[in-house]
This record gives sequence, structure tokens and C-alpha cells, in this order.
Amino acid sequence: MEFTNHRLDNGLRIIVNSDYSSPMVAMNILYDIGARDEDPTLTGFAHLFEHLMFGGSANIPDYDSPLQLAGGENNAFTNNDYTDYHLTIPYQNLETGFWLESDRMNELAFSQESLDVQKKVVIEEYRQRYLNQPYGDAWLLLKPLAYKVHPYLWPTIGKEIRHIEEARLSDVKNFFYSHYAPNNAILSLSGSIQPDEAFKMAEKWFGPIPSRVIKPRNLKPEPEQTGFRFQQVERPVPSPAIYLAWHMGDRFSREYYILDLLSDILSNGMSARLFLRLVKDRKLFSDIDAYMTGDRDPGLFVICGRIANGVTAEAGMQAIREEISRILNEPIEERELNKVKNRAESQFLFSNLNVQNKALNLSYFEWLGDAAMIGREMELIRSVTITEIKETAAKIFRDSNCSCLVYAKKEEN
Amino acid sequence: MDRKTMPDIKTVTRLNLIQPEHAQLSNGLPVVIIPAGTEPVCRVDLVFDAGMRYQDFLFQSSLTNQMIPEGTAKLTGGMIAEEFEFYGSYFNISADRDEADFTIHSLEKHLEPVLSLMSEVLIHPAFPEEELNIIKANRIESMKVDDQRVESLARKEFNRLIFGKNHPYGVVGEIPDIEPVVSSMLADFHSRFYDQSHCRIMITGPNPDQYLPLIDRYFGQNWPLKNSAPVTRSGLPPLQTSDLKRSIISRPDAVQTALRIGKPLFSRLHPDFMGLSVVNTILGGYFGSRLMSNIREEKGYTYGISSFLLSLKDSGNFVIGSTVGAEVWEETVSECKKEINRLCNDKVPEQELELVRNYLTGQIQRSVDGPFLIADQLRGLWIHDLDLNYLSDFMKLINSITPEEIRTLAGKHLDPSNMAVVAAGPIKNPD
Repeated sequence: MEFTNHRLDNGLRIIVNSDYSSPMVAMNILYDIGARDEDPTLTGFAHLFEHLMFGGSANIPDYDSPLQLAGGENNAFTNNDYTDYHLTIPYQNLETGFWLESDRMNELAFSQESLDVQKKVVIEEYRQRYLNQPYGDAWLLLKPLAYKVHPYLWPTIGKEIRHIEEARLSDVKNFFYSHYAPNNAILSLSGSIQPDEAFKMAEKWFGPIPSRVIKPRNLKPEPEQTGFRFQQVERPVPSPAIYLAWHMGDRFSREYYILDLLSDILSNGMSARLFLRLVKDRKLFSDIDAYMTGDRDPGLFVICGRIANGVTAEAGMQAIREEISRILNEPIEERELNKVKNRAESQFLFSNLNVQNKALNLSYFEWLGDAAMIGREMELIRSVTITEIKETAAKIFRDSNCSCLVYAKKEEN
Repeated sequence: MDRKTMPDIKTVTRLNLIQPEHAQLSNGLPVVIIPAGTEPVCRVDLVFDAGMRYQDFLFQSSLTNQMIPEGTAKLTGGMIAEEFEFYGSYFNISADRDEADFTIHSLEKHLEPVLSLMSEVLIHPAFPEEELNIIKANRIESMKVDDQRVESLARKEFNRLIFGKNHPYGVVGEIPDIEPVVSSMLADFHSRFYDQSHCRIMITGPNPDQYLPLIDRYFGQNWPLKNSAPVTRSGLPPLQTSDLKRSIISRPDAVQTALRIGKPLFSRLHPDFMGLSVVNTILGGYFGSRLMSNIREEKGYTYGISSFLLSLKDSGNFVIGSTVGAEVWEETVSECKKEINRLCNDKVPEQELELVRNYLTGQIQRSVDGPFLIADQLRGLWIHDLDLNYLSDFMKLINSITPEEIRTLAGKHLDPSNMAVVAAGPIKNPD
């Protein structure tokens, strides 16, 4: 993917990919602030703040209406590491996007009313996604089991509803001025736009925003785990479930690419090992998955599955151990490795088909350090060997590196 | 600098559309070709008139669809999946009330082996009983999970109420209905509905001229016409809409209440459908809609609320859906009705209408921005034998509809006293 980049004097980084096959422009702004930056007594705040970014800025009382009037649409998400805002708009009206995004980077409206309503909305989101679903609280339980020190120990939505209820307007102001700033953001565009034109508009709208002093990030690394951790909960779930999480390397480690392919060998697609062997052949699980959390700091490699009717959690656990032992002790065929590499390649191609994904990918890789990394991803994936997979599997799949959460079935009276 | 004034905007009134081309395979199968895209990837859609409305037993249509890639005389399901995945292709199957789909996304360079496998799988499935038992067992497990979610309880009940619990569009299969399905029922359904007289093909990608001969090799020359006459498609019986206007499902353990409010309507072919789509957008069809502003942004009762017009082949419905705080569900229902009444009684302010016009025209542009999105749009229109020009016509209507017409359409089709309300949640004493 071709792109041109530029940095404003206030520190804002801008990346442009011109794609005239689209009548739209996608605009993505990534702020380097996520749930890991939260105060442990005020968790869920980065995500609550994302909601408040739609409650009006200093000069524009309502964000959504002018954007819709210009034919645009937007959304946003927050994760452990960063907060992302994106919009797509007909290229004729792109300046409206610059106007809206620059005003809310410059200064929010800080309205008590908006805070009160968004607290309620986020609490309903908390209930809908985490409490009102079978297995919905899995990550509320698993994260503090796997992490004891690093802030990945709480989920993006927050440790508990009380933290959201307690958020005050003064916290909102502090948070804004210590994290939302041109020197803590990346702006990327993809679509019907020339780089020079985009840089000019960026200078006009974002140029006057002052740099701010960003609260320094000083996260304690998670100490090495020294023993197997186990938690069992009883819930009125339809069948028992197992979640296993092992600590792994960070986003920059070679391990990341190796385990990405290993997770595909285990569970990407209907011919993946866990599905074929444990769901279809042995009928021990009704559903099983393996994936990485994909975080910037050292993350987790997860295997989770719902146990089939009549099978015990112990039998399920034993079967997962056997599959891990097969990775370690039995040969992996070249064809199997090539299959997951081919799949990764096509996944990568399919993920760069529309302007919105392209803009997000550019922001994300620039945030990792360099947007040009996007062009080297496939090469890295292609270079992984079977020996590396076995070595890395032996390194991470140790009991003393593992946290295990089991949902036992509570019989309803 | 002036940050208070919005930059000038332009209203987009014209849509640049790629015009699909039409062709025929050597066995007469109709093919639509969408020459679009810049990357070396393509997509093939095979669409069959094989939806649930045609089934003799519950789950017959969806299990036939799901079982087709689970084995042929020569290949097991695992081998089939491995082969598709080795070529980096993505194979999707689905069956809804009217139609069943087979869609493959492939790298151009591997299209030939992928098509070869696809035709083998589709034309000669074996429906192994062993695989069927696994699929049934796992489907039952996932239905148990669904049955704990108030959203799916409300959705199923709503369907039964508005179309009729024994009607082909309203009937909902439950766990006990899966057990009796055996593989001969699926082979029978396959032989009657997965043939050339019930199939259409769509091809999308940057070099369709290269794909057409390949498609013909595997789905034209290789797929001779059957001798027997095609099965006639059954017409749809009249709807059996329930007189019950309110249904409460009590789930004491739930923490929120799922709501569905709505009524049966008509398909996209009805002359009022386009106009009513504008009405629906104002009410609950976008983030700034009246329902979102009222229920989420003013009151904070929910994470989200929206309304929707569903177009089936021979009917359709209007529905509002939301999951709300348990203690506010009744107030939410009366606020929804209040908002509908406001649309029926008062003219939409010009400013709001302009916003909705521009938002919708932007949405239409977005909906065809990229080769596979164009394919999705055409796929949705195909069921009514419409083509992409429908989108240009819709754009014209959006830019010309008046506040008076909107009020008239709302009054004509959206009488709130005539709607069904379903609530599933921690509600005591269901009446």
C-alpha cells in the first residue's frame, strides 16, 4: 500500500493513501491512550471518555448532526492500548471531517449532562455485553487471574460498574488534557484525496492546536508467573466451558508472528486441528477456539471451548493437553504450515480492500512505530519455520505459565 | 480562525455505478458479472431458491445447506475444508427464509482449483449421517446458549406473532425439532432444490472475462440439465398474524429486558417501500435518529435502539429492537409509540429532513464502495429481480420526498396501536 506522510509542528503525524477508485475518504484518528493507562481506582475511564467525545466540543455543540448532514458516518472503539475514531465522508465534504475532528481535539465541551447520560449508557452496555450473556463475564474473571501487576488485569469496560458510576467531571477534564493532544495522535486518510491537499487541510485545522504535556506512561511489567492458576465458577450456563491463557511476548516480538500461525493451525477454519479432532472426531467440545489477545505489551495466548453434552470439564482439559503435546512431540507437515500462511496472506489482502480498513491499518502500524511495517508483515509471516513453532510452543505451554478458568454448570431450581 | 461555522457542504445527487453484465453458461444458467476491484481477488456467489419456506420439515433447509460441504463420495468434510483453506479461500454458506447461498472469496490465482472443488461439493454431496449427528448436537448446544439470551427469545416470539407460528415465514425451529432430521431428508431437499432451475450465479472481480470460462467448465459443461421438470415453487400462504398484541417472556435471572415492537408490512417491491425507508431512517435508522436521541442520548436507558424494515421475497416487516434497563421497559415502549405518533401527526422539520437526505445519500455511496460491497447490494436486490439502478432511483426519491409525503406514509403504514410488543426480561407476573 502506497502512502505519504508528514508531521505538523505540534507533533501530529499524518499519513495519506490516495485511492481514487472510491468516491469517499476515510479519516482515522488514533489516540495513544487505552485502558492500560487508567488509574486502578477509575477503570473503564478511557472507554467512557470515548463516549464523551461525541457529547459536543468547545465550538460545535453536537458532533453527529453536522457529520450526517455532510453525508458522513463515524464510529469509535477503545481497547487496552489505544482509542480509535474513524469516519467516512464523500470526498466533496472532507473538510467537514477536519473541522469536527480538530475541534474535539482542541477542546471538549465538558458537559455535566453529557457525562451523566453517557455513564448510564455505558452501564447498560456493561450489562448487555458482560452480564446479560452466558459466559459474558469470562474476561472480567480471566484477566485478573492471568495478570497481577500490569494494567491488562482489568477489561476495557472497567473492573466494576461502580468505577463508571463514580467518574466526575474534573476527572474528565484531567484525562482530556493529559492524553488528548496532537502530539499523542495519528491522523490517517485513505480515498479520493491527494496528499498535499490533505496536508494543507490538516495544517489549517489541526495546526493551531497546541502540543500538550502527556502524562508519562510508566507501566510495571507483569512478573513471570511461577505456578498454575485455577478458578472455577458456577453459573447457570447451558454447558461447562474452559478458558486457558498463557503469557506470551509483546507485539514486536518474533513470538507474535510464530504464535499467530500456531493459533491458526489450532483453530482457524474448519480444517484446523482443535475443530477437526476435538469437535468432530472426539465430540468433546461443541465449539473451540485459539487466539492471541494481540496487545502491544506482553499478551495472552488463549484456548477456550464449550464442553459437549455429557462430557466433563476434566476430559475436555485432558484433550487440550494432548493436542498441545502433539504440537510439541509430533511432526508438523509443511503443507499444514503453508495452508495457514496462504490463509494469512489472503486475509491480509481482503483486509485492505476498503478505504476505512486501509486508514485504520495505516494508523495502527504508525502507532506501532512505522506505517511502512504494513508492507513487511507478510514477509515476517512467511519466514516462520516449523522449528520455531515447536520451540515457542515448548516455551509458553507450561503449566506454571497458565491460568485456567472453568465455568461449571449451576443447575436451576 | 472560525471554528464555529461549518465548512460549505455539497449534496451528492448522482451515483456512479458499475453496470453489471449478463451472460449464460453452456447449460443455460444465468450469470451476472460485476467487473470491479483492483486487487487480485474475486468472489463467486451461487444463489438457490432453497430457503426455509420450501421445506417439509423444520431445519431441512438450513441443515441441507450446512451439510453440503461435509462430504462427497470421495472426500470427507475435513478434507474439503482443508483444500479450500489451503488455497486461502473463504467459503460461506447460509440459508434464510427464501434463499440459500454459497459464496466463495478466492485469490484470482487459485480460482480454478477452488471452483473445481466447489462444483464437486455442491453437485455431489453425500450427507454422511455421522457428520449430521455432530452438526445436530452442536447446533443444539448453541441453541441452548441462544435460549438464555433475552434478545433471541424476543426475536423468535416476535416472528411468531407477526407472521403466524405455523406460517413459513413465522415458524421458528426449536431444539426438539432438530432430533428427527435424518440425512435422507437432506438428500431429498438437495435433489429438488439445488439444481440449475433454482440457481443463479454472480461473479465479482477485476478480470471477470478470465473467470467466465472457468465457471462454465465447472458449473456449465459439468452440470447437465436434469430430465425431470423443475419443482414448482410454492406460493406463500396468507399471513397468520396473531391477534395478541403483547407478549411477555419472564426470565427472572436476566439483568435487562429485550424489546421488539412492530408489525408485518411488505417487500421492497411495494411502491411505498422506498419512501417508508426514509421514514424509518428518521425514526430509528441511524445514530442520530429520534429513537436514539430520545432513549439513549437523553434518557440513557439503553446502549442502542434502532428500527428496521425487513424485506422478504413475498412479505416484510417493520420492527424496533432494543435491550433496555429492566425497570424502564414499559416507559421505553410508550416513548417509542410517542415517537411514531409524532411522525404520523407532525411534519418533519426541513432541517432534519435535509440531514437525513444527506446521510442516506452518503450511505448509498458507502454501500457500493468496493467490489464486494457492490456484490452484496446486488445480491440483496436480486431476490426481487431488481438491479443496481434501484439505488439510483432511491437516491432520486430521497432528494425529492417532502415532509407532507413522509407524514402521510407514516400515518398510512405505522399505526402504533396496531403493533405487536414483545418483552423478554426479569418481568414478574406475566399477564
